[in-house]
Amino acid sequence: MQQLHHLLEVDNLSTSFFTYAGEVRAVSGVSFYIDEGEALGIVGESGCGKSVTVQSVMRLIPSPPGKIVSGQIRFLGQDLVKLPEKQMTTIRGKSMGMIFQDPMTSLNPVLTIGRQMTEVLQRHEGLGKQEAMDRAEKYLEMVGIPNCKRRLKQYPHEFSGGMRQRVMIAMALLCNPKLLIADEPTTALDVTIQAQILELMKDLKQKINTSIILITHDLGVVAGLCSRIIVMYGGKIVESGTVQDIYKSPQHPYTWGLLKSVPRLDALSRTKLVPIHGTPPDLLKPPVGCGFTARCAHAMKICAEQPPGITEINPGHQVACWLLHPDAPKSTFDEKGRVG
Amino acid sequence: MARYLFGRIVSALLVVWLVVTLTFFLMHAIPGGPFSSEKILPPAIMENINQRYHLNDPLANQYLDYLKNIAHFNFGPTFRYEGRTVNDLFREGLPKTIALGLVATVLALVGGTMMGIIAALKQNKAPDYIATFLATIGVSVPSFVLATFLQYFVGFKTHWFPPIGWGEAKNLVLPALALSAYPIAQITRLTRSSMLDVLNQDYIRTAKSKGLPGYIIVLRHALRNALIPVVTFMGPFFAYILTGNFVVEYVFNIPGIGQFFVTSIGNRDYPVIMGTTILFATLLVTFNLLVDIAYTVVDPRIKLTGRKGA
Ligand SMILES: Nc1ncnc2c1ncn2[C@@H]1O[C@H](COP(=O)(O)OP(=O)(O)O)[C@@H](O)[C@H]1O
Ligand code: SF4
Ligand SMILES: [Mg+2]
Repeated sequence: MQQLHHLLEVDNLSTSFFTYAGEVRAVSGVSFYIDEGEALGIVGESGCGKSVTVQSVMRLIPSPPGKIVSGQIRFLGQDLVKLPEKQMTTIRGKSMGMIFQDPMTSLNPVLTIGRQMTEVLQRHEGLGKQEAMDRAEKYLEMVGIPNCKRRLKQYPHEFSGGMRQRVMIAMALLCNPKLLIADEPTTALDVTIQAQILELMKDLKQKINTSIILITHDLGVVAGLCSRIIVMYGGKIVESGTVQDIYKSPQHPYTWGLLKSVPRLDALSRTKLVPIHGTPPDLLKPPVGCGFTARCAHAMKICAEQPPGITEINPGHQVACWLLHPDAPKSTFDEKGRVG
Repeated sequence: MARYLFGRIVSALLVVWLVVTLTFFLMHAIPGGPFSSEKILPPAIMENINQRYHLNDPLANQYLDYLKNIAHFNFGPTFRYEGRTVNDLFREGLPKTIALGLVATVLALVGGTMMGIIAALKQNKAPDYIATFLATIGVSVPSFVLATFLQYFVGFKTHWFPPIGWGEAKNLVLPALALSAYPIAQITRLTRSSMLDVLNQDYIRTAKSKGLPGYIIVLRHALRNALIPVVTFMGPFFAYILTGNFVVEYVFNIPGIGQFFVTSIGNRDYPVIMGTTILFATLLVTFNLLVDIAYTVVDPRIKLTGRKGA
């Protein structure tokens, strides 16, 4: 159910990188929202603009060369795009926290875990050293790190990858942010550790009322945690809907491709992975029509000529594809992964 | 840690002993002696002098005597400074040399890191170009040229600072500048490039995502990491300060150890040459040990076992 005011509402966001080669349109015209207590998944191949989208929300785009070219990012009644950097620093870490893909490099190697955690609390909540340490300890415990007191005095290199990602999660949650953004939090980890971290995030979602944006390039990862999914391709949203929409009645050929490349969890029906062949569009010279044309088995003449409009299949399930035009031939996707 | 330190101190003593031995025999292998440059002395007097300073004893005996003396921190008499011992010269010169070295070191460390940080933060803008330009000059102009230049233009011509001598704080300005120009330049370059590298690291993005203000990100998160490569330069840096000091003291006529050393070589004043060499070798070895300890302070991943932590 849509609420009157979403926690975060991104409207027509475009972010580009102005390089020597020209303007790289990393994100163009992306709109989505997330409500309080909700978890939203963003999926898509690597390079499709997932990180740039959420880094725009956090205003962490390296500038130069990056710049938010247009759009609005409404969060807690403010447009973050227009917010001065100084005010932005009072939102980051406090109202929204972020965890990153590589836990091995995301923590400062020369500062203790305790220092890196308490500085957040000292900055945003003005806590004294001891209070901050106590809170940090409590949060480390919450994310399942044993011996927290001793661990606080240790340096990142004394932690394993999975443990570091737990530290990152605890650190991002310290000020009880309204929104937690997790940018591929499990991609760099072993499969077993991945499962543990996802389990932890599910668990935390029950306990604390934080909204979560989970980014992944693996559709299999989102299902357990998120209620809605956004599929991105070539810097645009190609399909969005509830988990049911996306898994049971996907409409976009790119989503079909993604679903076919997901390993089935039940080992019996383990079918061969089918990676989507071809390469994503060059964002320096984005194609005029649909960005998927060159790789799409269903491409029509119009696909290369005009960008597809957005069709709403049912409330909340939106697709940008010419196949949904009333005049287009019928193509569907069945559950066994065949395209008919 | 204690074991490591013990090992390092033993090897440091070994190095100093090697330096003593090498200098001793090399010096005696060169033809001529401390008193051979003067107008010819009557053989009887010459004999007397040699007798007095044991210059006729077998070399091995002289060497052993010398080792025994320096073990008791007695560096022997000087040949050229009437009635004074090498220890006297040390007592007189060392404070000046240390003062100059210290000021130059602070200037190099503070000035170099600050210029490096500013250059990195203002990459490809005016401050960066200025810092890079100054650093290029500092690296390429030899210290004796710079010393003479400063002495002439800033000393004699403008009278801003005394061009020569010792005694007041302002006497230190030009020599310290001349001595620190090269290390300032090197440290600026090192800090700039490692700072640029560090600012692109993931953990800096994490620090930003925590809403920390810019100065904390730079000072707490970036600088300490950026200084790790700078610490690598500290060994050569101290060696440079020690040797550069010879030239600078000489040019600015500062009666420090460096000047004694330079004069003593011309004079063949064996005990002074030996004494200063040992002093410098000891200082250098000590500094290198301190640098290794400094590593563990800036980088917790390094443990003093000589191995890098996982
Ligand atoms: N600093 C940058 N300079 C130029 N292009 C960039 C930069 N960062 C990202 N991009 C471009 O933006 C696009 C989207 O990147 P990103 O959001 O990181 O993808 P992902 O979906 O894998 O997170 C990529 O195609 C990349 O080429
Ligand atoms: S618009 Fe055309 S090319 Fe693009 S996905 Fe749909 S059918 Fe394929
Ligand atoms: Mg990414």
